[in-house]
Amino acid sequence: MPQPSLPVINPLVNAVQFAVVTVRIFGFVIVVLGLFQLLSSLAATFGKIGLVYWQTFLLTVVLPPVIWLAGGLLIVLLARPIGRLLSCGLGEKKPDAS
Amino acid sequence: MIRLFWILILGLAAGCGQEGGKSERPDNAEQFLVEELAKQLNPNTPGLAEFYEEWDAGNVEKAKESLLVYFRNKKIPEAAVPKPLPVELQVMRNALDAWRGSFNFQGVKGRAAEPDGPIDWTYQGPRDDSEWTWFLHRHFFLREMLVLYQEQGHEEFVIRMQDYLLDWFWKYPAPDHRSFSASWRALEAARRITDSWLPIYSALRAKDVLRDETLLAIVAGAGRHGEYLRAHHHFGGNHLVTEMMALATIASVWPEFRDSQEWMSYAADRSLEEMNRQIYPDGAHKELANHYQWIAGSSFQQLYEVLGGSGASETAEKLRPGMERIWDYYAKVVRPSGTGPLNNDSDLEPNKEQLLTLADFYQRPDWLYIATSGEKGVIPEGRASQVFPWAGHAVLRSDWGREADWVFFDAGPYGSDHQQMDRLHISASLQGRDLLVDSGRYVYRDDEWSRFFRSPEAHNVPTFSAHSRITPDTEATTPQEQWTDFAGVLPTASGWIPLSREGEAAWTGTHSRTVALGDGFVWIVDQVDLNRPDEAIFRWRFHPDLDLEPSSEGWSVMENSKEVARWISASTSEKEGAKIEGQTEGKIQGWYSPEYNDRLPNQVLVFRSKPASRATFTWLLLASDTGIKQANLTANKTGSTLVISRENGAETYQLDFPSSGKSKGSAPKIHRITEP
Repeated sequence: MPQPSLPVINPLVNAVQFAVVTVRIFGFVIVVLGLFQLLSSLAATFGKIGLVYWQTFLLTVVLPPVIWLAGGLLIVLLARPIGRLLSCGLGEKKPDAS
Repeated sequence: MIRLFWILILGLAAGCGQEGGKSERPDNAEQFLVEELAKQLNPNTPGLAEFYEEWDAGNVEKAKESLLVYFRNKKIPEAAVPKPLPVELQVMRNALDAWRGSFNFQGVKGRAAEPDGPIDWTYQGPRDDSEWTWFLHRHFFLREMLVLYQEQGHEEFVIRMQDYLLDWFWKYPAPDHRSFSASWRALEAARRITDSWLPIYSALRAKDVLRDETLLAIVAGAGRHGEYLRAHHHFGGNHLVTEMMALATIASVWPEFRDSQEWMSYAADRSLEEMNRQIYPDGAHKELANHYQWIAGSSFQQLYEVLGGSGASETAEKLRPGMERIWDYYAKVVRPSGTGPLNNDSDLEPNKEQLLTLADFYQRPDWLYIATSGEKGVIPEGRASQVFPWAGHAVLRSDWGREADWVFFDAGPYGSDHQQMDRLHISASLQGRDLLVDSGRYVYRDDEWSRFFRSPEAHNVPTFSAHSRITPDTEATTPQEQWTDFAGVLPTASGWIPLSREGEAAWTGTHSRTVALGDGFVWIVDQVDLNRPDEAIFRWRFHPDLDLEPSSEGWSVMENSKEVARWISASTSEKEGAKIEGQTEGKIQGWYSPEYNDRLPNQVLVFRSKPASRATFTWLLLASDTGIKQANLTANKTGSTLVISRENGAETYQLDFPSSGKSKGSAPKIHRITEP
């Protein structure tokens, strides 16, 4: 009995898509963590910033999570090239060493 | 931060710490100097025409003679020359030591030359401290040798002095780039030419004892220093002010240089800029250290006098309002005993003594009143307590006398330089006696001693087992308001500091402090508010002349075995107190430094509380012999109560924390419940 023909899936394309999705999720997690840290720090620090603390507040409380947040966003935006780069060589057939 | 970045980058580019290229004395030294001066001087200067005629004609000897006659007889504006050193034993001793090859800087003596040999200009002193080498290159010892010569008349002193000067001159030509080396760091160059070479030139130029080569070297050296300071001065801070003062001084004393006019106008313009950049509207220098208030103020003052004495009176007048603000601040922070506070990197400056000449110069009878503790002059208008809203400094004071009660409270920014972690520190004197003190600065080194003197542990502020104090901004951008109350029942000042748990970015706690000054007592109320419980460690450091002994109500503060004050405390959280003095094992504690390189053990009370999230701690420093029979202090979650019992009745004061809890917009209020 003839078998029904299955769609041909390029294993290389699958690997690239997998990598891109993984990088996107990774970037998204960083964004969420950065955002969470920023909001929780702002909430905890509320009412404690005086006139001679603004610069310190921006540098030590706001800037670090903002850097994480921006880094995460950058990873999400560049997920495709990063994914391609990471998946390089995953689907290649290599000649047997023997 | 940005400035620091540029300093590092430019420092690296300029070859940080490298010497400015060494050279040797040429055989034809005097001709070499005449040639250098022919290039540096302005041929259109009246009096130098003959020199240039001879020089252009190739008559080197005649040209040299003409130049020497001119520079030996020229007049110098008096305002530009530093006042002569007092003929004191210490000055004479230092001069004699220098003659023998030993040098004394900031209390540390080291041998940098054999009795008849040249100085090893790279020597860092017996403590291997680069600060010592910087002082060596400032040549202040030459001025002390000048005093010795003037007093005793022995030529060997002045011969040796010139040997030193010429040895340095030929070894260290000016580099063509910004240098941070001891020889040509701009501050050292500025100090050398104004505090050493100029007084020597001024005093000896008309005398044969000053060799021709020395005279020519000083004048050519002035040109080198002028060019260097104009092109490679520091970026800012008190260094730049001193450097611009030196540049203006060179231009004023030696207007014969081609670039003197440009140097003068550049120094005047930069100084005006720096006055606005470095001085807060309330008069405090932004480094927020009493010592550097004096250093920067003195440099501005000398510049002001040089400008006024050299025809640039218009620029001088522009500086005047700033000058008066600087000295007004300096006058109003003074302790009853006459010294200034030891805030940030400071030595114990004699503010009152220094103010005397300034009161005369500016015709300020109110400063004279402060400087003489009310014996002369006119009492300053308004209250004796003062607030400096930009500096964040509050001075609570009963009056201007020698036996006044005084509190210095720091609730301001970190300071633009020479910082210490001293926010919310309190220094206090009662009946004119210094009781609670700051620790001073001791040394500028990268070691545990330097770290201790800069740390919160060297100040009257609490630290925490698992929380850190947040360092404030280096500068204030707006004045602080509503943190002092001088019109209430007791003059008070308040401030707070955010706290963060170790390793966390969020500020999850605060320490708030209010200090009030009463008749013969200082009352301090601390509130600690944390998200998670923690131990608070309070330290109260007393003047080194004092001893602390436990008593039934707390601690007795003793001087020469007599009780001079009492220390009482109360809190909502259990705490234990102990005394520490001169500790070097483990963590350094219990040290006081009245001036650089000098440290004395002093007694410190250390109180460690049980862990708590919210706690009130209240402290009372009470002078003896003020008619106060008893004092009762209580602390609760909403504030503190103080009952002072005197022979003629009792006073009850109540301090209530603001009801808004974490909001830091309003300071606690003190009410008097019962009248005396």
